[in-house]
Amino acid sequence: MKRWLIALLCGPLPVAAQTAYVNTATQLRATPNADAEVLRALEPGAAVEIRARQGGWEQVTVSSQNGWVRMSALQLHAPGSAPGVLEGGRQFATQTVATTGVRGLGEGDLQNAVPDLAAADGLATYAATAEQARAFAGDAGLHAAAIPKEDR
Amino acid sequence: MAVKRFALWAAAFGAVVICGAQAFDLDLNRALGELKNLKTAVIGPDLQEEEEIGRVAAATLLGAAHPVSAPALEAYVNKVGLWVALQSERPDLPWRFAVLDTDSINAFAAPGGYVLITRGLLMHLHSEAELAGALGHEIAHVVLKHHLHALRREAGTQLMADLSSEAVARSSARAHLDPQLIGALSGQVKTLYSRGLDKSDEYAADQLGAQLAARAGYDPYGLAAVLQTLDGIDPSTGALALLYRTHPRPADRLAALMKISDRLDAYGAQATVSERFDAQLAAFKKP
Repeated sequence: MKRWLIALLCGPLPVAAQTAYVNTATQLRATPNADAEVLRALEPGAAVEIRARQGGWEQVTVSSQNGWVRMSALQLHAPGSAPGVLEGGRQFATQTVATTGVRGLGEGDLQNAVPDLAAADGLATYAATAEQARAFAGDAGLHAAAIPKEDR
Repeated sequence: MAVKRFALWAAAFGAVVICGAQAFDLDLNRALGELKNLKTAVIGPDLQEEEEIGRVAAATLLGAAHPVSAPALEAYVNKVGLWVALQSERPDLPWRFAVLDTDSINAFAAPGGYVLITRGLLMHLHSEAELAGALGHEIAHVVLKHHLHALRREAGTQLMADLSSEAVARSSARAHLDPQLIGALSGQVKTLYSRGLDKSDEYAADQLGAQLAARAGYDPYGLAAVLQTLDGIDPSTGALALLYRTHPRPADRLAALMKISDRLDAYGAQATVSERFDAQLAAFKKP
């Protein structure tokens, strides 16, 4: 495995610039770290452009200023258009909308399904062995991480 | 089926019980329960029953959408999935992964180690770490036996006892599953997978799923990124209808997952493996 590739894989993941909206009062910080210098405060509803993500932080541009924001403070839909929820908090769309040319798996498809045992048994065809999975992980420089104390 | 069950029952308790007067006093459920214990001692701790329930659950989902016919992609998803599953408390299950050929955005787990992800969800992911996080969530459902417990709870003692005896019969290659039994269990599966698990199960699967992906060496925030993506998709197309019906809102799941960010951060900056993921998807999309 080439070292430069591993370095590349561990760096921030660049994403196609995408508009996001601040959903809770937060801060723009200089680096992706909770202790990093605060560049400015961000108010709910403020629009930002996401440039990259590193761990639980997103690199954003807001009013020509670059910095990092906790990803939970950002949403990808405009404020007031909370997806999946109608006014009064009721859940949206419980039925799949019939759209021509779209193959869906909605509640109706599930209710009408005839169990396909052959297909279930056939899934074994592509199943990997533990040995193959370990080699595959090694190819990308992935190693089983030490489990932090609090997770044990 | 009734005849076979009677035969097994008779074998277990002997002619004395059948002929004796006390046979009529025996509670049938208790007798079946004892028979199950006897069989469990022979074939191992309920694994055969779990596999049989999972097989019917997976078959029901596969009856609604078939796997994509793309061997390279299926093999890739199986390797990512197994590598994550190997970090779990149940590494030795016969883990099987598949991509369902549907535009709907969703993923499913079934007892015994079945994990299904839709093509619609796969196309919205950006890296192998995100795939590992999505699969990790489903693997967590299997590890924590969420669907198994829900189906056992709902299906009732009689169906489970029947299934258990069928599973034993099948394990010794003596019989195929009774079609009536498959129908009854499949009905329970449809109800559960249309209604969804308890919300608390979904939040637990998010936490464990993210941690399993992290243990596998992936960026611990892959699943969080998937949830943020889902939150940004316009649900009015219907592709997310079943997911929204059966899960808490993605924004709520993301907020809950970020509450354990200290534990996720403990893994440090890990690989996203986006190049290999992009290459696999590009090869799949090529006509």
